[in-house]
Amino acid sequence: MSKVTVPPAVKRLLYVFYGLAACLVLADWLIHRHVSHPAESVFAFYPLFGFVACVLLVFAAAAMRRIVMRPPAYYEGAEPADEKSEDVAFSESDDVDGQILEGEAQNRRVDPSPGEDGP
Amino acid sequence: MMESQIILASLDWIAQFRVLAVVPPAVLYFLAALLVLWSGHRVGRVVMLLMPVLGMFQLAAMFAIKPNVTLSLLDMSLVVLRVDSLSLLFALLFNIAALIGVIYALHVRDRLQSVSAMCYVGSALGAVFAGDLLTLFIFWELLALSSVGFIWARRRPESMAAGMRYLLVQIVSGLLLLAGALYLYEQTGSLVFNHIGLDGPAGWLILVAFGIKCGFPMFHGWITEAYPAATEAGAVFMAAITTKVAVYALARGFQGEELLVYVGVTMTCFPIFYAVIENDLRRVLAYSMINQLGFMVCGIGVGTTLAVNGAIAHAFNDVIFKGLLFMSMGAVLLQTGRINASELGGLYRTMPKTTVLCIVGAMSISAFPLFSGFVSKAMIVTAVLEEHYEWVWLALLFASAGVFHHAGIKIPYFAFFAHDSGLRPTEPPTNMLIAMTISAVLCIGIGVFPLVLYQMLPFDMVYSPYDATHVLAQLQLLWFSALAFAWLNLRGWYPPEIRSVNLDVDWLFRKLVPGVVSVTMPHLGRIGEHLTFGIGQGLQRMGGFLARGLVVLVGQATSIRLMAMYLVIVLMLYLFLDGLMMLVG
Repeated sequence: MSKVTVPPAVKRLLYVFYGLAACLVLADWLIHRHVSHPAESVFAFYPLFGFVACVLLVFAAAAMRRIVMRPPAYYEGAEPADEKSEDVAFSESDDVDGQILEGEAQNRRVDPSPGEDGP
Repeated sequence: MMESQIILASLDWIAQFRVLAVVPPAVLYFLAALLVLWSGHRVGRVVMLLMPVLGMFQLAAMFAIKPNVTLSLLDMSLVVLRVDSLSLLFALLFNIAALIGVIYALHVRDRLQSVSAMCYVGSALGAVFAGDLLTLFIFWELLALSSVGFIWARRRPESMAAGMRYLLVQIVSGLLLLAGALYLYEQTGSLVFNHIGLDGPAGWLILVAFGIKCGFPMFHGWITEAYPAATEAGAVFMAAITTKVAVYALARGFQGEELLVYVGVTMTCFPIFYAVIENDLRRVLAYSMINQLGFMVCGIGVGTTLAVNGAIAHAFNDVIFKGLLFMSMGAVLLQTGRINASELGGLYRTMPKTTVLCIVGAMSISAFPLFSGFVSKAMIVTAVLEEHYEWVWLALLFASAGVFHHAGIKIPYFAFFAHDSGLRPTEPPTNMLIAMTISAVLCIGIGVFPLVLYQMLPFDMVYSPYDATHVLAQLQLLWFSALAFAWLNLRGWYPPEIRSVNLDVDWLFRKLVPGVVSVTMPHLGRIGEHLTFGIGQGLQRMGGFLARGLVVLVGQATSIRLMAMYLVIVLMLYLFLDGLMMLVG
């Protein structure tokens, strides 16, 4: 998979975001923290922990998909076909890995538009 | 000085309403439900709005008088109103949740949902004021019966089945509670609901009963199935109440049981993996609810003053911020008819207010400093470290980073930003925006002035969440968790949102059991028929035993365990067969 292209406005926001991240790490020097666990006194413990934990979380979850992922109509298999109406067409282009599931994608019903009136 | 005088004076004034203070709040709510049932939309609306306000006023009267109301039934005395700081705090919480929920649902013209809401909140209040286990059991089951209306109100074929499965799980939880309660009665001669502990089988039965409602690992399937299946407003009510009643019950009965520390920490960690790959955003919230419940269960398990206070404070905050998140996703569902992340995106253009409100909820659940989640989660994490549960502490840190990742960023990002879905929905009805705004103000208010919440907690403590060390640590943890999200997204490594079902424990009773039955039944053929016939006859005979058991019970209390066992076995068998028939048919 390739890198995602980012519009310039978002890019500027990202630089601010990176800058603040750097400041937070540097604050470890400026603020004397009173630690209650030896691990906390390691430099940049919390930033490293947060980053690594989340990357591992996402990779583990993506790997988990290989085992637990099923088509969307998996539990509806036994239902008679007339229960389902045609889905409103919408873009599925973002579903990079979704090709195997496209067959089932049309089976799901869209919410009937709720018949309420405003207050 | 001035303030305390004013408070004392107003307490004196409220103390005049003695009659109001001794009526169980559940009764008031059930009356309101009757009124709503028999009146039109306009009157019903007013009744529903006034009820939580009256409920809060009643709590003030109870606070001033501290009544204790006991009814006698046969030889037992049932405490229907036990008022202490723990029950008062949860009652206040449920009244607040009811008020916000009612405002959110003001536009809904659906008597089923309105009546369900009143009965449901009433049952929850009945449960938290119950001073004995039998009263608790009654309201425990009413809680299940009244909330299934929120699922059925969606009126789709699949919501019927989802509702039945939900009911099945909840009723089994109640039956275990009943069995445990009667067992305990046999052992100790008392049904009083105080600390129970895990000394005997009774304690274990009751723990499993509470655990089912609290979403312990392997019992959590109903949470992730029922909440996404409920209506927009129904999910808001359900998310606020059922599991929090269970947290209340655990805090009352199993404080300081070390097992709960490990159960809790498991609950904080495993759902976040599912949440990352889940497409239905309300199911993502259901997973993150299990994660938040894990923090509370962990706090109750640690059992120190700070930890239990933290768990209760977190339950309070969770009702409000999780409610806010469910409300914002309900608004998205109502306005677009969609809730899957793969079909949403870019909604901030036309729903800016909902976007901001959702982000406030997301910051709160992620425990950002100055938001409500921070001031309560900090207490639990600090208490865990104080008691030297080092690995548990690391796991909680991991879960804290993870919850920001999947609930704090994923929910607002995929719904309101990410790629443009092309959808241009309008903002939801004003009443929904008002309800969300109230929640958002509470989230920030509690985050900025935590003492308001701390003063209401059951135990005295000295704690301040805002010291430089802790704020910096939390900011670093969250910021770099966000950095990981940004980095993975920019690299294109973030798992794409895919329309799919992810297997979880519900697979066991949605696929495995029906599968086994449908494979074996044709082969067994006549044997199956005989079996069914036999079970039917057995049930009949057991009914006879049951009747005799009842006679014995009235005559002498010693055979109560026998009676309880009959009752539980018959009901369980009935439920099991019923469930089996439903799954097969």
